[in-house]
Amino acid sequence: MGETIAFLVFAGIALGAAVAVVAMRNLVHAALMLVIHLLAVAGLYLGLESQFLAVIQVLVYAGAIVVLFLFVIMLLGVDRDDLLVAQGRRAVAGAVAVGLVLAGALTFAFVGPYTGEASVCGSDVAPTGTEQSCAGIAPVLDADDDAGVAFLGRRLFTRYTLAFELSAVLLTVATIGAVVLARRRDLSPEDEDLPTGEVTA
Amino acid sequence: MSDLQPGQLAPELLATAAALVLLLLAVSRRRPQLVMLPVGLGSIALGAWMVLGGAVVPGAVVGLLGVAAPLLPVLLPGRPTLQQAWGGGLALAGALVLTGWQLAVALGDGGALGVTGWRGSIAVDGLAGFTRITVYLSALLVIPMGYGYLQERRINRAEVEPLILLAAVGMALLGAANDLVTIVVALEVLSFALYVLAGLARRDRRSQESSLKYFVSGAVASAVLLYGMALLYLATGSLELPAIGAALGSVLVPAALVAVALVLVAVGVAFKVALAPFHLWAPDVYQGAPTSVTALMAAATKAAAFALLLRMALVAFPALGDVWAPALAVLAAASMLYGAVAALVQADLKRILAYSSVTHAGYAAIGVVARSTDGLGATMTYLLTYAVGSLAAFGVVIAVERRRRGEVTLATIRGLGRTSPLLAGILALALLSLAGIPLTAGFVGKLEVFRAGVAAGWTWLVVIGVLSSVVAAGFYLRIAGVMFLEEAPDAAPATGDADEDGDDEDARLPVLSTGLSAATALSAALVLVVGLQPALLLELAAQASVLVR
Repeated sequence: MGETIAFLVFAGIALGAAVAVVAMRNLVHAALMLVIHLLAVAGLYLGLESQFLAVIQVLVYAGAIVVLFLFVIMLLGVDRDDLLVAQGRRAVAGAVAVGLVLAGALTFAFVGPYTGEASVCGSDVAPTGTEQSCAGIAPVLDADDDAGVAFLGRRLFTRYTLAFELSAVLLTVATIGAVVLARRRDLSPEDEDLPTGEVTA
Repeated sequence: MSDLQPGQLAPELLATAAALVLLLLAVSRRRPQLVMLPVGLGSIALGAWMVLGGAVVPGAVVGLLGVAAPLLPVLLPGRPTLQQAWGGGLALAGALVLTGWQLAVALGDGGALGVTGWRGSIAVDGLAGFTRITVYLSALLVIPMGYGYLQERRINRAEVEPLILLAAVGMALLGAANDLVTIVVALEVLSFALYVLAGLARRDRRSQESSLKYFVSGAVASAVLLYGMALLYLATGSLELPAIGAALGSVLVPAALVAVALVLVAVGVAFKVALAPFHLWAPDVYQGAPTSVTALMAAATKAAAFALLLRMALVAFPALGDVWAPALAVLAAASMLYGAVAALVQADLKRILAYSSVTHAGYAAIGVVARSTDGLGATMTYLLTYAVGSLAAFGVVIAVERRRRGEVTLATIRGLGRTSPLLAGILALALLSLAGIPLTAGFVGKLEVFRAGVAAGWTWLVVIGVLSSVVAAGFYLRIAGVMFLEEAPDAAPATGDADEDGDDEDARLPVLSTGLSAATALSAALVLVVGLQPALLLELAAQASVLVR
């Protein structure tokens, strides 16, 4: 019961925020609405017992990516709302058409298999065709926390130690690169400006 | 699952540690011994402990580098960038020695070649070892080659050597990576380092263009590759290449999913090795990047990316060989022909070499298409011979460019044979090697891939390869003709150089420095040695043609 309420609340927030992202006239507000939307989706993940996915959703999407959005918006200039005005009727019709096609495809591919009778949890109807039967949360939880944080952590520090450590090298490279690119101007080579005596001291 | 054995990653560990030490050295500006003395003492102690523990060669390498560390600031006082260059060079030489030691142990009695290490993350096999040799050798030659050049362009910053070292680590690990996760991370390590290195000259628009184009196309290629890998994981349920290969051999995997995965992975990898028609980034990137970085890209990155191609093709996708081999053969044929023809109409030397690298990707791919042990050895040999040949060529380009401070076109090197015959001779030798003329390294490599191609029944591809070699020889000979047959222009050519004030006799002479001449001469010597005495290399390649499957 609590699960259903949580789902409804988070789904409502997610949908409302998603509409707000498109409807807001101020780009910064739209980006902030996107944060709310992504956080609500993270809540949905939590409801599905996917803690890791929820945390990653917050860190990567709500954190890093939206910050990137905001950076770009700030760089382009916040007050330029002419970017937001749809150019003519054709553009609006095109946007609506693409949106409908995308929604239809997603419904067909992802929601479709879970709409039959067999998908209702607790029903004994055998699934036919592509229809998926309800597994419920319990068996997933029983099956050795398969997608859980503990499992991921164990794998990360046993089987994938090398890749994990190598990503430290990757971050080092990225940091050096950021320093190189962010320096305001090229310094002249340092060799001349160091008096010989001081170096060997 | 085997244990975590540091010995299996000895060269990479050394290079990574050296990169970090060099970064600390750069930070410590006026008090280098604050960093170098503890590092040196620690390394000597570690080396002694390793020697006592039975690992004599790696212990000696670590110990010697430990002795060298505090000596650098003493011997080269007041020259921090030179200290960096020497430090980077010594570390890479150490990595090369460690690679040789690894191979010697693995090929010797009781050694194991063709096992996995680090719990299946890396493969300890011939492909990994050979890629390490090519990569570390190229990086080792690039550092002295680029030192004076970068110094003059005022872009020789403390970050250069660490980035080169870390790029080499990424490349070497890409050659050794045995699962998809390690492949992706290693690929990104080397790509990030190269994006930054390509954009080092921030005042130079072409360098910025090069960096940006490389970044965008590289990111797209990585994304495509990653998507393909995700689908591959979905289809086979495994991240390890041998397990994927075994799973694809069964009939239970969904065919459509595998087909899409194969296409995406192939496109991603083809981008990285610059096979036509996925080579479009290469000319602009090669032209704009600082020339020593271009040399590193051409020689080392190609080898690493081809190691990835070989491993994906022969370990992950052997079951689908009948599907990808014809497609790859078409790509190889297109690269060989298009690269050769496009290079004919170029005037910029770096662009010519870029198109020639596209052509060479085509030749090297013949060995992959052959799908045989011989083909594997042939491609590895080819990449090494291409690396030394292109390094020698880029060394001469650097020497010419240092005087000219701008583009190196055919007009620039007119009459180079009169003004500096040795340099022109080296460039001619390098070009002969790239063209595949006998008695040079390039001939050895080309002969090997063609032989493997014919043996595997790809006669039409080899015929195209020979045709393309003839066309390619045309533009290589054109460069040689411009250098030796044409008179040097009397006055400084009017290509808009503001730097040259009077003294046009001097302006035509390329600038050489010790590092540049030594590295270029060494590359040229390697071209000759491999060309005259190919037996050693071929024997090594034949013995090292072992893959973890």
